[in-house]
Amino acid sequence: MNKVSSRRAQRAGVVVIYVSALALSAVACWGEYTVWTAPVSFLALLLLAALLGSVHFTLIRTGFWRLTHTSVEELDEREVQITHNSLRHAYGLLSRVSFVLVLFMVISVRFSFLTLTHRGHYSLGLAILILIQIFIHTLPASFLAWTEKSMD
Amino acid sequence: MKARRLFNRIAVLRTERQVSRKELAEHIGVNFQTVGYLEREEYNPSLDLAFRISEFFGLPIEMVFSVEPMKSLSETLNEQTRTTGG
Repeated sequence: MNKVSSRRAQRAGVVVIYVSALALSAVACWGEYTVWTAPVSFLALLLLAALLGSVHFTLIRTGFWRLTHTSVEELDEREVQITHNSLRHAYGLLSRVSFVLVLFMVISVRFSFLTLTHRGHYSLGLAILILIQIFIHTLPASFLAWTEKSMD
Repeated sequence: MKARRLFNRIAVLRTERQVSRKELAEHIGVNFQTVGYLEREEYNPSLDLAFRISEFFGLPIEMVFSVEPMKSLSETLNEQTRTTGG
């Protein structure tokens, strides 16, 4: 695969990661607020498979996951530099995303158009928590996948 | 502060010595991709890494790195021969 198509594939993979993560959260909320019917469960499983598959092919197999989840002693100086840059960008983006999510939760509870609990479960809160975790773990590596060539 | 571009002869020296990027990378302790970035002058090495590269080729650092575009080794040698009158 040449450089351009490889970069394009990496960027497409990053888009799939976040589209599937957001869609999965939406389906999980929908399932909790209505009923977990077989089609809703199947759609959730399909989205989970898309999320895990895109993380595997875009972040893990390309080596970007290793850069952002390994000790700094195991990286060379250029890798430390690009990883630092990706972490800085991810931190900035994550602070904005978590601000919007928490603000949404606060407003939704204050005006009671959504509740964090439904049928005794912390459904919306759990979905948002999982979404934030996905963002925290994938954002730095995704930034590298968007800007750098594959590390393998 | 934006770093100025450093020029180098790594690609020429590596080809001349018939060393692969992977072998050079193992010797100087970096990922083989970093060697590619260094050769394309897309990344400026630290002083320590620059010394490790020079030591690997057994040349003084100024023969491998420069802040000005580098002349070919034959041109440099020719100039040195002229100045020393050899």
